[in-house]
Amino acid sequence: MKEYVIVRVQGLKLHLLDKRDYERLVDNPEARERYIGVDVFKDPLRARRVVYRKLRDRAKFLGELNPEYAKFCDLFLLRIECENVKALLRAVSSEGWELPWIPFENYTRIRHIQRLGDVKEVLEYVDKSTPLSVSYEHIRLYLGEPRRVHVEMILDAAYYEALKREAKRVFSESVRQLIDLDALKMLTYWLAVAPNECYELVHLGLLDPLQPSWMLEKGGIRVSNIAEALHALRSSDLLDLVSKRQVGRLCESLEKRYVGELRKALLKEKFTDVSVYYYIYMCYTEARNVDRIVQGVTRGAPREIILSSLILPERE
Amino acid sequence: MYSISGALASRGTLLALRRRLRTVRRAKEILEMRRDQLVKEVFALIDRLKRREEVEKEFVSALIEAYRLMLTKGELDFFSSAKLVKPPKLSCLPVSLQGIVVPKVRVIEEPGFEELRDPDYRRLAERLWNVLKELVELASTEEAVVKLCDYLSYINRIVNSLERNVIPRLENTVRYVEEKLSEETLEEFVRLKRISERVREEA
Repeated sequence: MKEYVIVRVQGLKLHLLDKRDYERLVDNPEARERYIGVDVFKDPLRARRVVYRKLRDRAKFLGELNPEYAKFCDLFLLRIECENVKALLRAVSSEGWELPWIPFENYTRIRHIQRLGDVKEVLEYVDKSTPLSVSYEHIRLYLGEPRRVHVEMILDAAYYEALKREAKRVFSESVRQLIDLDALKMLTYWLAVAPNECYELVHLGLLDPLQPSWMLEKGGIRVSNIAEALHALRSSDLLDLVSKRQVGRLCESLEKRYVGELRKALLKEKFTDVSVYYYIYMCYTEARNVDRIVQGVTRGAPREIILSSLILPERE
Repeated sequence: MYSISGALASRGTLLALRRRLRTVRRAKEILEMRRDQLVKEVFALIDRLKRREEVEKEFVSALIEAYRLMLTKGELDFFSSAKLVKPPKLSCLPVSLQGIVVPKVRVIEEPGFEELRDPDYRRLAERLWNVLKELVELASTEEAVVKLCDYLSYINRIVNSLERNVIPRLENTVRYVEEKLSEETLEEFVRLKRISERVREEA
């Protein structure tokens, strides 16, 4: 069955958008309406909903082709819901305008999320409604009263722990290494943004799911600073961006390089499960890109800015 | 003819009119001095407003950066991070500028960016706040210029009315009373002369 999915994915990959398609989506309202099926100016929220529903349908289709992948696909897309939860953590104590939630609901419900009042309630909700294991009491045991950044990092760690656990069950070593790199990307972000808090959690072992397995298995070596993280990602040349405090550009470069790594792995092992992971990752990237186009176009952002914010894959 | 409210053209009236004319002329001089002072103040403020174009350009550039950041990081991340900023506290106080009450916006408490850990967001927030602070300052200055100009045009109207209406009419009335008094003096003189001639003839 796995072989069938791998062959099927070779065809599905051809439906992914490329640079020219994205340019057409930005420039041509008809192309946009044809792809999304909704006029983005009339109902931007509905348009975004359609984009994420398409992503969910693609993941569901993979799961239908081979039920072994179904849980992994769901877990992979849980990162979108985690973004909603992290946004809530930032906004939980503030008042003011409504947040532009990402309209993606698989494990969580936005209406429910909006009603949560403090960090404890948020974590209890995540623990109960998703496969992520995050316990407020457990965090308090280690950190006393945790700060928001601590909780966000622990949430990311819980996400990658669940994803890696599932990947270990269904995917080969090559894919697991790619997921390791993905998690390391997240660790790099936290080391750049909140180095002290991140260092603290790394040494408590709370961020082990974000650490690359090949290093942890080598006798518990942990990445604990940004230079080590970039070295592990073979991107030490980006250290310059860290010293200039340009974290946005750093993340963008890492994301583009990661997509490049995926392509390299795909070319090396085209007819293995790497192509399945590549496909699901690129579907996710495509949904994020189209979402950026919808947001950019409806807010009247200049074309160049919209296009420069996209993560563009290369064609085979 | 300027009315002296039915008073007779007497020497007392003439003295009162001359006193009034002197006062009006002095008032006009004072108002002209005040006008010059206000014009100087307005020019000084307008000099400050010349920075507006530069500040607006900086504001637009900061907004473009915000757009870029919003699209790269996503609307949700952008707006939820914005909620981490502790909003500034501003107050609008009436202050006196050359004796005219103008509004002045003062920053009571700067915004708090401590919770904003991402350096990109922090840099953008600080940049936007600096530009906004300058824009608020410029808006206060602009409002002060508007108020001063309003007052300036009011003073101009009074000066013009004094110069072209009140003073000429007062001068005419003074002249009229002077003529009337000199006519009366002449008449009195002729009458006295005739009486004295008749008295001399009869004698």
